[in-house]
Amino acid sequence: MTEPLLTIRNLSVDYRIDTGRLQALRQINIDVPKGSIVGVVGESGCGKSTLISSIIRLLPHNASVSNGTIEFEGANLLDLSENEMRTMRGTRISIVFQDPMTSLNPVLSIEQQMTHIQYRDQRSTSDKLNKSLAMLESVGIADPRKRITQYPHEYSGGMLQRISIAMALQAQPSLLIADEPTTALDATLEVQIIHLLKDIQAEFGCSILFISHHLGVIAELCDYVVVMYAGEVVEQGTVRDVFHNPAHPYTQKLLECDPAGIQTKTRILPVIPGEIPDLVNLSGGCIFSSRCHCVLPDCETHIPQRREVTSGHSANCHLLSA
Amino acid sequence: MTDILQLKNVCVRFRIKSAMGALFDRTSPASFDAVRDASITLEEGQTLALVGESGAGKSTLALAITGLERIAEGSIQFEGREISQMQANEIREYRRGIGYMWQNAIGSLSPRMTVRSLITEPARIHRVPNVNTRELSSKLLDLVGLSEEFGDRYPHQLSGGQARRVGVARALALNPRLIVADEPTAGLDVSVQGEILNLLNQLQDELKISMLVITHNLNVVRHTSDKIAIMYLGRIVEQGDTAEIFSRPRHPYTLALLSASPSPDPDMQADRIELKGEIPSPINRPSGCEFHTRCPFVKETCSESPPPFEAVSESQALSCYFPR
Ligand SMILES: Nc1ncnc2c1ncn2[C@@H]1O[C@H](COP(=O)(O)OP(=O)(O)OP(=O)(O)O)[C@@H](O)[C@H]1O
Ligand SMILES: Nc1ncnc2c1ncn2[C@@H]1O[C@H](COP(=O)(O)OP(=O)(O)OP(=O)(O)O)[C@@H](O)[C@H]1O
Ligand SMILES: [Mg+2]
Ligand SMILES: [Mg+2]
Repeated sequence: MTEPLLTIRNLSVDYRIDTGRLQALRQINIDVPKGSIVGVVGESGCGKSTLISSIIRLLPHNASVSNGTIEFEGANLLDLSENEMRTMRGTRISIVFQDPMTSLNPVLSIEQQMTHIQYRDQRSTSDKLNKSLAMLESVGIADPRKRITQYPHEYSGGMLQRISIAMALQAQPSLLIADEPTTALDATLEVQIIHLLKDIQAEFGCSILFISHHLGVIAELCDYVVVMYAGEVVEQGTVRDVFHNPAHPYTQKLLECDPAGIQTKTRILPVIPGEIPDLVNLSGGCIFSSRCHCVLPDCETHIPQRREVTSGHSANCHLLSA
Repeated sequence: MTDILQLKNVCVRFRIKSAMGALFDRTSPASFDAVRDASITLEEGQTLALVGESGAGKSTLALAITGLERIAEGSIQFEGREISQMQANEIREYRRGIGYMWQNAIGSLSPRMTVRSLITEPARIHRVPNVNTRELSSKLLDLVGLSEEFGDRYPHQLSGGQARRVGVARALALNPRLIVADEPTAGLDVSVQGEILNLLNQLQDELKISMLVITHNLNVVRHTSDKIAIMYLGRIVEQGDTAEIFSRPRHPYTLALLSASPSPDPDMQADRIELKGEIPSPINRPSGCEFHTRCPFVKETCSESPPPFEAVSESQALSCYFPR
């Protein structure tokens, strides 16, 4: 791995809820090397959005970071002041949220919003408008001049998604974080956005942290992949290593469940039996043991440590030390 | 088999309010068709998948079917009755019989309501008498595989997948005959996606619900739908049996769409038909076949006049002068 841009160490995040403390992230370790694209996959509710909110320090009020560091360009993001962090978000780190309406204001036109985020820029209004139009065009919005004056509700879901990508890219950040940016897009546009992200990455040399459920998109876009389950990282490595030789039973099951890999038509799709464990009352063992198809006695009593499968490919599973 | 839903030449028109449009281009029209000339049929107990480009008009068509968007032209018949001619009380009853799952699962849930009141809200909106909210919510939570504890949570306390289940529960609240699901599995991991689809399939088998599913995920379409309709720029460009279309896509856009889906194997080189050129806008439709500006197989005649939508086999129809 080359020089890291983002280094997350032992990150733990809790949510306070009525029934207690929900441990949404536990001892997370992730590296995003400079100029690389890192994908994050994992079951709904495994903490992907929480991870992103921690990095950009926009966690909800009932959340708290109980442990860990997030090193980015030499600073621990968790130590920055609100002001420093705000500047960081506007210039060095950009985000495309899962729900495009998170970053869009329903009562302002797209033009107003795209101009507003360029407020640090000294250029003329017409230059800013042209930049916005070019950005819209590059994410495939036709007729940008006519459309830019419209309001969010006048666009389709996928268009809003692309607009939020365009807005995130306007600042030319060194880290782009994207929370499922292609879920609302059809396959041809998805491929187009993947190529766009790859081009941007190549042109500006930025790194991308890319959250997606679409294993095919991860395979096509990313260099590395991090597999999460119920608040923990269970496996990570290059996409090729992890997808060709999954070491953790959860990763294996996840790959088996992908309908893209199922050739014959079926009305009953494979699933991983069982439920995600209760993150308020955690048992002492491996977090996946209740759903695992190859449990050992240790699995129910000891949390497995991270072990190397091959160089740069690791998994947290007792099978690796058995 | 009887048709539960039949759409004929449906158009949905939006006004363009923006003054800027008129300023830049005096020839630009005051309205445009987000859906144009769309005809589809859904047979009772079957699943029809509606796929197509972002902005193609899928959600708009779904809203028209549920009576939430007015149609400018054409007809929509539900069990043989024209919905535009229904009386107010009939419309209410009609809408009660449709379970609608919104595209944006979390955003469409009111943030101040608990899951319990959200999933039973349809009963209040439609003033269904004598509802035991507790009982109904427990039944619905159970149906969609959420534990009772979730009943007291608020939308922001749910993950995307959990919110989606709440959406399914809400759609099921009034025992619908037809479920219209807009992107029911977007944002779900493959295992939970499988669960939701198995759940919808199972509910369909048990309760004989017909379904219209809008999705971008072609793998979902392949495994769960009987029929498929492909939309481009507000029109249906190809329609037919799912298996048939997957084994032999005839319209060039369908071909491109099916070839685009990325494979989970990083070493599998996709053999893609890439679409070039800008995505046209429904405000400014291309001449002739509206796909000609991006079609990899375009010929001269394609830009001259629009190709008719014609059957090429008993169960497959499309609009293209040069089908594959
Ligand atoms: N504000 C909150 N208060 C309490 N619990 C929360 C809150 N936000 C998230 N959670 C819980 O924390 C866990 C992680 O949620 P998160 O949204 O990070 O998951 P995710 O991996 O992004 O899921 P998805 O793929 O469905 O978007 C879930 O169990 C969720 O219910
Ligand atoms: N209320 C509205 N007013 C004006 N234009 C609208 C309105 N709703 C939708 N549109 C326009 O109609 C077209 C079709 O939008 P629609 O939301 O139906 O697309 P879609 O196929 O569902 O796309 P996606 O896959 O991105 O959700 C788009 O050009 C959109 O901008
Ligand atoms: Mg999320
Ligand atoms: Mg839509």
